[in-house]
Amino acid sequence: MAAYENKVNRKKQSWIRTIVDSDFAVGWLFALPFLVLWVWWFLYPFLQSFIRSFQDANFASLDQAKFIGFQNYVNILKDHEFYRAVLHSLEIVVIAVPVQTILGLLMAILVNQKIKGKGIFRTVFFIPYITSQIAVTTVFMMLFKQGTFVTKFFGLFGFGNVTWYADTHYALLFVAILFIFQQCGFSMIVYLSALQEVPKDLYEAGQMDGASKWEQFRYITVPYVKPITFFVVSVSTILGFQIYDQIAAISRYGALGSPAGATNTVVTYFYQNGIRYMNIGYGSAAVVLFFFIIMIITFLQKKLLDDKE
Amino acid sequence: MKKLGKLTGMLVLSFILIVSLAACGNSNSASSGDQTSTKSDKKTTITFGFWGTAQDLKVYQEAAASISQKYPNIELKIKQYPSSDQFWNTLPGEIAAGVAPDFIKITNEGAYEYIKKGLFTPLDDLIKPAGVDMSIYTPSVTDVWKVDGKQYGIPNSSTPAMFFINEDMWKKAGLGAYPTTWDEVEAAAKKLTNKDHYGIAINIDAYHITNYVKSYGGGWGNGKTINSDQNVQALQKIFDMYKEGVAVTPKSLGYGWDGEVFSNKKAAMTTGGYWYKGFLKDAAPDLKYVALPVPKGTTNGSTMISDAYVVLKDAKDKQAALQAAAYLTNEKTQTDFIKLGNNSAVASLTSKFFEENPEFKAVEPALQYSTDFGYPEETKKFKDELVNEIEASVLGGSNKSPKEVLDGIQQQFK
Amino acid sequence: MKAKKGIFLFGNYTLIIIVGLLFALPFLYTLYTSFVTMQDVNKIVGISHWTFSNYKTFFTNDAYNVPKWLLNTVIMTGIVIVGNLIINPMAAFALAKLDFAGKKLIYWIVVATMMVPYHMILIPVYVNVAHLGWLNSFAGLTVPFLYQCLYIFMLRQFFISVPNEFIEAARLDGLTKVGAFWRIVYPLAKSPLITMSILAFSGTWNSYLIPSTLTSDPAKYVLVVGLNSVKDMFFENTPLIMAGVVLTTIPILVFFFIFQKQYIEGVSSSGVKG
Repeated sequence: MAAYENKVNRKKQSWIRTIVDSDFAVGWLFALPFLVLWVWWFLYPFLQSFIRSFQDANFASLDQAKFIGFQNYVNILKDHEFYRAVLHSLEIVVIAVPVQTILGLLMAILVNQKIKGKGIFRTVFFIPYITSQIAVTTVFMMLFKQGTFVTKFFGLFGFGNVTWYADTHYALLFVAILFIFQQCGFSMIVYLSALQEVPKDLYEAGQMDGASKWEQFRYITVPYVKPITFFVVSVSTILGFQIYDQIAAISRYGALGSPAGATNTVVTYFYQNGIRYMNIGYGSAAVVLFFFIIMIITFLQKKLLDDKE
Repeated sequence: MKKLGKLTGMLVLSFILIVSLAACGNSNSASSGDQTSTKSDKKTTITFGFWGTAQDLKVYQEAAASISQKYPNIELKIKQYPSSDQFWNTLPGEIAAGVAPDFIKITNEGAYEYIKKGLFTPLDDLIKPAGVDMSIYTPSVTDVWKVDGKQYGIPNSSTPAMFFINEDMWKKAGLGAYPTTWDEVEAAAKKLTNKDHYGIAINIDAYHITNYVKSYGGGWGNGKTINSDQNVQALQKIFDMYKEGVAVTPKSLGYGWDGEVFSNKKAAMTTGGYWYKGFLKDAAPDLKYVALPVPKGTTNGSTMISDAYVVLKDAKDKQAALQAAAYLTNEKTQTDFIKLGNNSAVASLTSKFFEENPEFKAVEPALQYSTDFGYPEETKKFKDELVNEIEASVLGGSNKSPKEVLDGIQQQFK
Repeated sequence: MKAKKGIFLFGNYTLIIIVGLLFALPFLYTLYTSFVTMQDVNKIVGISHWTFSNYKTFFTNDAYNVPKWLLNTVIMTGIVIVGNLIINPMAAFALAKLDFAGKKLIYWIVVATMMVPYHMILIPVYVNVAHLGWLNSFAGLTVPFLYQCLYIFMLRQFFISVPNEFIEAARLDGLTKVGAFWRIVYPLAKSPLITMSILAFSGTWNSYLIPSTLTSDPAKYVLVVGLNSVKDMFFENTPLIMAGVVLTTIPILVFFFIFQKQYIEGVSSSGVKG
């Protein structure tokens, strides 16, 4: 700390400073607070759960858990419900992630204009993200009932006039719509701060060259926010895989994943087996498998979108 | 730039301050929860865990304050959980950390699973030394809490399932005497269905299905008789009423549960329970209803809802925990609960329940023949499967027959 | 030209207002429901039927200590945000702008951690907290959450776009790398740090699973847990729940409204001279 108090420009750098100010020392120093907390509050608990995935562990008697090797994994891979759950998760992600990324960017641009009352509009756009999921879900459940104007509106595009979340064909789409609705606010605010970082002179230069609004968007905004797009896409993917609250809300009084398992996802599969049925070992194994699935997807996304390095 | 350097300095400083404050606050609470210090003055601290309303909490706090009159060496602590889900989420951690409650209140709808998994202590060997008198409870209720011949719970309440009818709708349709069989219900439902409401709400939910099944002389037999002929017959009746368009499940109307359908006057009849009274008082004060025993299929049968106090297997002082649990069934505490609408499991107080709640009088005979749910050991899994399969058939159009549905489930619970 | 602009502005506003109404709808409905009685739920009734009784329940019943819960929430959220404002940017800076052995490993640690549902490690975390004697304490509610991999990842993506020339210029002025971070990069990252604060604020303020697991003493409840404990056993009192949602949401809205004003455009290009 004392080093930079010294405002005098010293040419002579001591060897101590060379070591202390190296990327290696500073890098690890800066990562250290995070790593210390992470090891104790994540890695250690995670390893405990990981070990459980090789055990036949019933939560009433965890001390008597038996080691059973890969049996849990084998059982999961034999369970067709698991594949169905993976498929459902993938469907939600494929539908929701592109839509909410694009909507988030457009919303951020809308409220980043010089207009009156943009503070209010920003706040309003952000409301769904912070309103409790139960409340949002309750309202959507009222809107997507049979015979409401919303259902009829969707009917114009060939959707059936049914109560969406009670219909095995539409329930998953209903969950995806809920997720998009709530997650847009998140993308918007991340993009909003990214837009502040775009140097204004770039737009000015663009205008001088006679670039249209669309061209400015396409050739200045989009490339400039690319690292953030990578962030938004990978985080929404992860969160999309982890959707739980919305599904719990629509199956509040019935079986999780209602109706008839149509909204079962990997996380509800884990929750149901590991926590509800108290088979912690089996549930942990499901999460480990789930972990590898998202890891692969995120890795691919990084290759596709994050070519900055 | 200088300003910002200061700012970050302040940030770090305030952070250290806050964290140290937090640590201080914590050391206080740690010492107050310390259990070794309470032992020195020869009092055993027993923790009772429950989830429920603020009124329930008040009743329990009063009981905790007076327990020293009977058991001077017991100090009773009440630990309220926000919900049952929250309790079961936390319990494994609490057990591992040694801070789980000593005894809890639980209903018989899910208890079998936990008993079979060894979560609770059998009480038989403790009852005598603890000086607890089991003969004061209604025998059929005490039996609900016996598994494999062992007593696991001190019963607290017991109420049979009920059947509710909207009196105004019934009279408007010009119907006479109230139904006593499902065939009569079905016939009435046809007359009660119009553009405003359905004849009957059948919530696709294990509790309600079980009541239909029991009224046909069936039952789940703890997993052994899932696809019995009686059960198939009962499910057939449910499917029939759906096919005829006289029945509705709350979900397709956008409601959470049957009570909401009933209070919003979207169905004229429904199976339910004693909680309807409190709910309807707030949700539909002008609705006139009658409570009846669950109609007969081929015989008298319905479920008995009972909650009881169970001692966890890791309780430090099991005998004291049992004494504290039994104390919660004292007359004063039980009378308070009767006023809140729960029928006491103490036999001598049952008549008081029907005095306080005259609208339930018609259900009294059902106390004699109502029985436990009889779910399989993997209770939650069974309930989920049952609901999923029936939903798939009724809402999803899988068009499986009742026999196919139950055969499929039976295979998974051999 | 002017007329065209006018039409554009009009269209612009119409679009924003329509989208805004759509987004506000669930909250408006929540607000509405919080003012009706249980018998009027799911119906639209006139203002004469409205009542404050749901809010009164929270503030007049001795069993519910709403001001205390609010204070607990403020303290918990405050500690978590300050911790996140220090720990996350440091780690993110190391990942974005420094080149050292082990960096890739830390990057993948950050990414992989986000993928594990917290439910999976909740029980071991609970045991950890209990062994430290931190149940029912602010330490237990905050220390495990002083960092968030999500925000480290986010800030890393932002720091990548900070031009390296800024850091090099600072080093020519005699600053160490530590100094260059705190004095140059950190202030430049105002917008992303605001975004992170807003997200961390709403996430912590609204969190239910963790505080409800780690606290069992009503005096230590945070707002969401406390309000959730106020419900009846066999049915849900919807208006009461909605009033609770309104009470928890409004502080976040205020926080957001105040902090979103801090977004100031174009810092990157002009900031270097200031």
